[in-house]
Amino acid sequence: MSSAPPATSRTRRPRLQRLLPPEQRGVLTALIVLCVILAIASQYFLTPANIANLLVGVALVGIVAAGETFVMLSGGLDISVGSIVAFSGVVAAIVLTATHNAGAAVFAGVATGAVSGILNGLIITTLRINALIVTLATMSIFLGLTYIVAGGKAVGATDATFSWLGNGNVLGIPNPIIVLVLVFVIGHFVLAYTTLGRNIYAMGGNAEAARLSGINLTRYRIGLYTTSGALAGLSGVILTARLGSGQPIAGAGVELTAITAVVLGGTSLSGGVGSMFGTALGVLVLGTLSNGLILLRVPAFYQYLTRGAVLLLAVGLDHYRGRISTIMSRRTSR
Amino acid sequence: MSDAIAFEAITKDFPGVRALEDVSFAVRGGEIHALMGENGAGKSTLLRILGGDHTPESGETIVAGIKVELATPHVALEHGIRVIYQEPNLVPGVSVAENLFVGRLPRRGLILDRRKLNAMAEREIERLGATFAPDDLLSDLSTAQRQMVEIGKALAANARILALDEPSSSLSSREVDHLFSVLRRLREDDVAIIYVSHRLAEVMTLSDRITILRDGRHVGTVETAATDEQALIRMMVGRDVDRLFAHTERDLGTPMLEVKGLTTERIADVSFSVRGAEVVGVAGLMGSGRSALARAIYGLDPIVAGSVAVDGRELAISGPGDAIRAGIALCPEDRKRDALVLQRSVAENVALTSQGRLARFGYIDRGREAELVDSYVRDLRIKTPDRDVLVVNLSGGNQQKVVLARALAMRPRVLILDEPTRGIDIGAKSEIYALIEELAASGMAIVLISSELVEVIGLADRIIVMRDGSMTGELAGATVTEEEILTLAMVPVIAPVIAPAALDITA
Repeated sequence: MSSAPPATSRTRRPRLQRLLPPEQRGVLTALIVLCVILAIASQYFLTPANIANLLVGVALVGIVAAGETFVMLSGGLDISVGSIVAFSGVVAAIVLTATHNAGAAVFAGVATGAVSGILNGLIITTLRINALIVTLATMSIFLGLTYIVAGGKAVGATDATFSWLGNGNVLGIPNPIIVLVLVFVIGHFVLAYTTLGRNIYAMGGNAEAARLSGINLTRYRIGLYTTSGALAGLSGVILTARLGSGQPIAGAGVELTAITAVVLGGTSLSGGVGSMFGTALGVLVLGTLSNGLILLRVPAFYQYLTRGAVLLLAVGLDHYRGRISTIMSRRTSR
Repeated sequence: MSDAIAFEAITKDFPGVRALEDVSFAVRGGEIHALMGENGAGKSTLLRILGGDHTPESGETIVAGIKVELATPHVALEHGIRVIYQEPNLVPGVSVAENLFVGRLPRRGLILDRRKLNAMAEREIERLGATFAPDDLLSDLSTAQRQMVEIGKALAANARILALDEPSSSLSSREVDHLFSVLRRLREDDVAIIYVSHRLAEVMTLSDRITILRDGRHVGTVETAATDEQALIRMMVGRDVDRLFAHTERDLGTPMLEVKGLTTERIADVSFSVRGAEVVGVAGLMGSGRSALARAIYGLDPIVAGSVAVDGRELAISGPGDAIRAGIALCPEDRKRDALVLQRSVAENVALTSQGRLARFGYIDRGREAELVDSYVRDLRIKTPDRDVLVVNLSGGNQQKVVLARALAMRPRVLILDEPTRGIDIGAKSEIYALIEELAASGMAIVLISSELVEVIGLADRIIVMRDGSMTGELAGATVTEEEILTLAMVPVIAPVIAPAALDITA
């Protein structure tokens, strides 16, 4: 077909579309609208102190959401992350109490998360059971283990070095924010620039094609659930450091908030479409929302309501964007 | 005869591609109207507009003289339009009868009136001249039978306009004959039929008129009786395709791929070898083990017995990764299911198996990737605005070229092509044929699996014929006739009682 098709002259993709895929426009719109409204409604909103506050507030869920992004992009799902947060947090507290060594506590917490993730991955790949069902089961199992090792109550973790992790800062930037940003930068780099990232998109988009291209799906799946578990573990460690104790109830609902952020950020439930940047936007929207409601002195119960509404709005907007643009272009072509 | 459906100045855009531009033509009631064109010409898009699945940017659809906006599939159905797409639109777990009347099941009170339903279904099945029963489960039916159910469903809904997208692509010749007789009967009943096909011979025997699209534009509508195949090809391609196969003499090298006694669950004791610069064709009916042979060599099916060697070195293949490392590349039969990541870019799809070479410590060198991808886009003439376009936006022929490009980018020693031209228009086909010749000439060992005998005969130096998972013969190149291959491919007619059933190649 040597003759160039007549259509190609007008087909260059605009730069905007490359930087911001269509599935993320809804969430970005939501974020901008929220920020504008809040900046007008509260003079306090745009102060550095409040923004730091906002970011520290979403750090824990954000780190978990980053791990969840990997898993969901590959076509999986991990709803045990909330329990892993609690489990790792409690284990870190116990190790800290026993050793008085902050490094050992951090390592133990992250390792607990990683091992939990390996377990998820192994069950999913060897028994070939749906990831939702497996992690639904392990969600309960990990929570049970948390209560058992904690003896049913909070475990104290009062060590100055350890506490600094959650409450200290470097050059005035609170540590949880530094960890959050690092996790997202590394996550984005991996997904966008490495073979690993390409293969994750490939297996989420078409697992069979990925397998035929020589990608070892089993190894990848186990690796991704391990990553998700380890990041949940890290989140649990930071939470324990902030609270000064490992609490079995700490992770309740984290998995759903994290998944909300991921979906809000444009990641497809079936995998293969989405990005770390999108998840970051999703996390920011959720954080801004709860921060704004507090600033406006709206009772905390309304957070759930608004969170759901924003999710529907952002995702709905993406869904109807296609229709709207069709109508617009039709109008201009006449 | 009046126009049952008229398209007027239809234009449709997709992101990055204008699929249709100012297309106008009409189809009469009681006419079989073939719609032809290369892949990417816009045939499927037009059918989707007709079926209410896509909305055009501009232009009008006129049904029986009245301007109608086919905004949704439901609206299209209400206007008596029924489009049968390539992907079946049936419910596998329920009976034929329920599929035929889905959405309009007869009830007595709140309860399904099964007796009435079966009687209604019986009438439709009779009208089709089909052999299945109303309460047969759809999942037990063959591809051809399912297609009959689709047509029956259209008739049961009193469709006045019936469009079929490549209905013959997965049917045996006997089944195609039956399909044709059903369509001719519908023509008697004044139904307007739009028939999309790549097969020239089919279109010439079946249709009354032919509309040709090229690059989204209407090239012409001709009376079938007043044209011939050459003229149609010219209209589709925009130039003459005089010779599809340009077989050149090649000096065969040393044996590159050696398969000995290969046995899996689906094939038994298959032995053959392919030399460098040689094309070995694999022929056989559907389900004969053609593709299973490819799967075994590529490490997709566990090997029970036998061996595969590349360059004289026996391989321990336990997965595609091993095959790839040994220099074997496979272009699978079903590109959408097994090869393409549709929501990712052309670049990522082409580079998928070559990333290791393009990356350092896992970090992909985008410059080198772009160079590699662009060279294949250029060499294979992949029609895409640029390498960042999502594969889902390309036409079938160009998608197939992306799959080929991925295999070639691996720089394989052995290339296995499973149905490389399925569902591809004649222009793209001739390009792929030329490419196969070129690759062989460069010293690659090529295994060509195809159900199109012309293709196997035209390209292969030797042909292996398979039946029921075993090799039934090996034929030498250019002098082979289709009859010789078919004789080996089909069950010998010793027991005439069972032969016809066994010939029903739908597995």
